[in-house]
Amino acid sequence: MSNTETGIGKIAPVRAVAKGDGGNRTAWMGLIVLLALVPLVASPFHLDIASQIFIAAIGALALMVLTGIAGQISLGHGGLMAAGAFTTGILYKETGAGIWITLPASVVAGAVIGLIFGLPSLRLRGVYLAMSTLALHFVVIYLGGEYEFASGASTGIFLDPPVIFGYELYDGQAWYYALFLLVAGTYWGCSNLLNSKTGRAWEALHANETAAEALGVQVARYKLLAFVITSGIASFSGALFAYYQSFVSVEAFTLFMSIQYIAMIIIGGMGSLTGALLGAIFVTLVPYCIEWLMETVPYLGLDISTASSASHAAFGLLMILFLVFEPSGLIGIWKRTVARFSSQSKKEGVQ
Amino acid sequence: MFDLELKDIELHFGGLVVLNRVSLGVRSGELLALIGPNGAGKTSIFNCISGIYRPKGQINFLGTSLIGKKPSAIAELGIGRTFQHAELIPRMNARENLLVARHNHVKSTLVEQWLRLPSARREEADHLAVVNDVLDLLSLSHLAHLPVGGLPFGIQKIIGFGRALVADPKILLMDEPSAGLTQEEREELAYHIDSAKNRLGIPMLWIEHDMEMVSAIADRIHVLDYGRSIGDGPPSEVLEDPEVIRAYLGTTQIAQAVDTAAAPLEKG
Repeated sequence: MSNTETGIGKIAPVRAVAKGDGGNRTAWMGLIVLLALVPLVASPFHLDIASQIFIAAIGALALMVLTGIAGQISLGHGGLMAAGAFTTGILYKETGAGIWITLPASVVAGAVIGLIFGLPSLRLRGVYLAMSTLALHFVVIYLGGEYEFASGASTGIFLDPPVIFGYELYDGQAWYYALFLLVAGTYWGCSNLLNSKTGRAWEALHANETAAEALGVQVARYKLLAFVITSGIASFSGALFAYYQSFVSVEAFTLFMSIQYIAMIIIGGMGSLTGALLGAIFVTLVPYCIEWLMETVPYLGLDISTASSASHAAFGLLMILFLVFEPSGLIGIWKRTVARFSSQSKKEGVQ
Repeated sequence: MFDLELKDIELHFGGLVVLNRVSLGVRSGELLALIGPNGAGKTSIFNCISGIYRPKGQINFLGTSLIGKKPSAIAELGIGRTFQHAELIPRMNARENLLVARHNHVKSTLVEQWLRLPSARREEADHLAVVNDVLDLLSLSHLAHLPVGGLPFGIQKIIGFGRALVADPKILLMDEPSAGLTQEEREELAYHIDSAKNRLGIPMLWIEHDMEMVSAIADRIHVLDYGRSIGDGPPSEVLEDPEVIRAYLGTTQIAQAVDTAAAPLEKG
């Protein structure tokens, strides 16, 4: 404003960024169109896997923001999903509430629990914080189990398909589209936050809390905000999980679930939202790949009874392999591949 | 008459006396160099001002007491600082690192940010323009898109200086901004410090070991030794003071002599 001439010059780098986004935007649009066409050709089995991936993706996005961006380690992710699932299940069973009440209620319940279990983060860091969030898992599972016992629903709570605008969300295609939209919305919202004051404050306190404070970031406030927002999202995905399975039971929310989510963000690539999506795809597919291996390679000595322990072991191995050999995760591999191809095409262009 | 004034600052770590009744002040538009040997308590003074340490005594900035305030609240009053080790966010690029420092100037609410409403987008563009101005000023625009973790330390320090500037500070605290810079980068930095002072007219407190730079651009020097103030005045006076020479310059001269004596031995 003070100097129009330099002002115009300054637009150039901004535009360069916007242009990069534009290129990405075309790719994203292409991907979205492609994904929208999937249900037309996919079998119910594949649609089921896709829906599981979508639910996992929402949870993984939440954990990525909390751990990958804001640097707060949590082992309570499964517990938060359980909180969402039980809030929805209990509300439905006790009052018959519809999805417009149960989903927001689950988000609020998750946010409140996140606030409470975020408080130790003001004092604790790293492994100690992880242990305190572990308590969250057991508290929620205990309360859920108590409810199941007290209400006589010892095997769990059954849910009818949710009704949206008079339409019953029942078949695989409808679920696919609904969850697809919700993943896209969650990704968009998270990405907006990361490109704003809030996301930058999270990055700053992740890198160095003292320096962040000295820059004016209210570290305690932004840590709690990260817990509240991501717990709300995690709880939301738990509620979706409950509706999708038509069933809520404590058995579904094991500690292994929390570890699977950590595996998603490590394998996907710490600090990247797209990485969270890749990690959700990868981790959801692992058990299916192992099953497929069992069927196609009969001499592997695997059968149904060893399938789950085999996939547990595979997770452990994969996490170690990624931590040691590819700490930047799948997104790191992807970026390197893109860079290699674009430099190759540039060279060819010169020749 | 001082914008920032410290009175009788005392700081102990257990039995160790870090600062012993230190008093100093900076006027607006003045560049005050804070010198002294390693361990004299220079960075501790910065940490007292920015609320990281809790000393005894008084610290007043433009009529407001800083004692007992949280570091973020002190930063919000317009006290900007740089760090000895830059302390940038390695994963972010220079532009994003500078945007972090606009934190207290961003008015948009969480919901506006989350939904990226037009109001938030417009505001973001305004802050980006401020950041790009500073990047241009420091000739960093060509590096602005690279993750800072991979940049040379000297460049990181200059980005750190830019990050302090971009917050529109009412006072600037600089902790050894020239350490780790090449001679060429130092000259450039001296120019930037001097021109920022003239342009902004704000008080600046500057910890520095490079006496050449200090005598060239500092308006006044305050000397610390073992947590005590041992001198305060214009460069020409202070750097001639026998006590200052003994405490500070003498030791570096001795250190230099030792270095030159040891150099052939190391090579052999």
